[in-house]
Amino acid sequence: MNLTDFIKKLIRNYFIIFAIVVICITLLRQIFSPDEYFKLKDIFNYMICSLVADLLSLFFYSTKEISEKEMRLRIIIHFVVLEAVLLTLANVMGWVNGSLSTMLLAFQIAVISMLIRFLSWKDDIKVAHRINEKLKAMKDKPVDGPEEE
Amino acid sequence: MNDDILKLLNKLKTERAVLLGYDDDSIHRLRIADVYYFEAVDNKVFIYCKNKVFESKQKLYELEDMSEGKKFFRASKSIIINLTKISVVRPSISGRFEAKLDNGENVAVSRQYVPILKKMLGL
Repeated sequence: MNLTDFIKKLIRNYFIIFAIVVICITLLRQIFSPDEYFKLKDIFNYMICSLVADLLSLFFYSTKEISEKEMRLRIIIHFVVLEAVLLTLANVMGWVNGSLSTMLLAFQIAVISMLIRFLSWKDDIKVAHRINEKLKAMKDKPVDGPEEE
Repeated sequence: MNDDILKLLNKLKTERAVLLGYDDDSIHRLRIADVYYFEAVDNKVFIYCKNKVFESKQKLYELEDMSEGKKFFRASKSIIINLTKISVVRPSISGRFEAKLDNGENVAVSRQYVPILKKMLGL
């Protein structure tokens, strides 16, 4: 993927992340604290968090082909930096106070990250299964069967 | 002419399509149907067959054009795989896919090319 395409993807993802954050918080507030209202500062906070999360995906940008080992390393670095940046931001903005709530937030970030990766992997298994079925059917076809070596 | 005859003709064309592979000082005529995959590494293009690797003097995009309609697909920026040689496709935890070929080799498939593979297979 070239840099222009990557930037386009980055901008699109920013709006998606922001929309998901706003939708989730709106629904949760409706359920747990319907009397509270959004302040302008809250919206800016969501915008900052979405931007931070989105910009960190730059770790996955490369003009060259990334090997499996390198990709795994980038995933680990991305996760560590994401934790560090979000925890720092949360402390600076005063969303969390003290080590216990910071640790709790770190744990929540870790769980959400792992959950997203696991769900994505589960979905990929389904895709791979469908591809394998089609490949098998293609090989089994008498007309397009395997070539004789 | 029905679809089966057209497919048969296409298969015959694929089997007869030949490309040249260089191995040290010798030049080999290779059936495109015997190719497992093409790979570009440091401005050189290699042809991977069952047990042997040959160098090609053609560019990857030329080989891509040549193999169009012959069940080859671009799996990444630098690799074109023969679909008929894929044994199984599986996802990796890093979010990419990996194709295990009939000769036991594993080749990475970039996520961005998976929709093209799905389209080729009618998914």
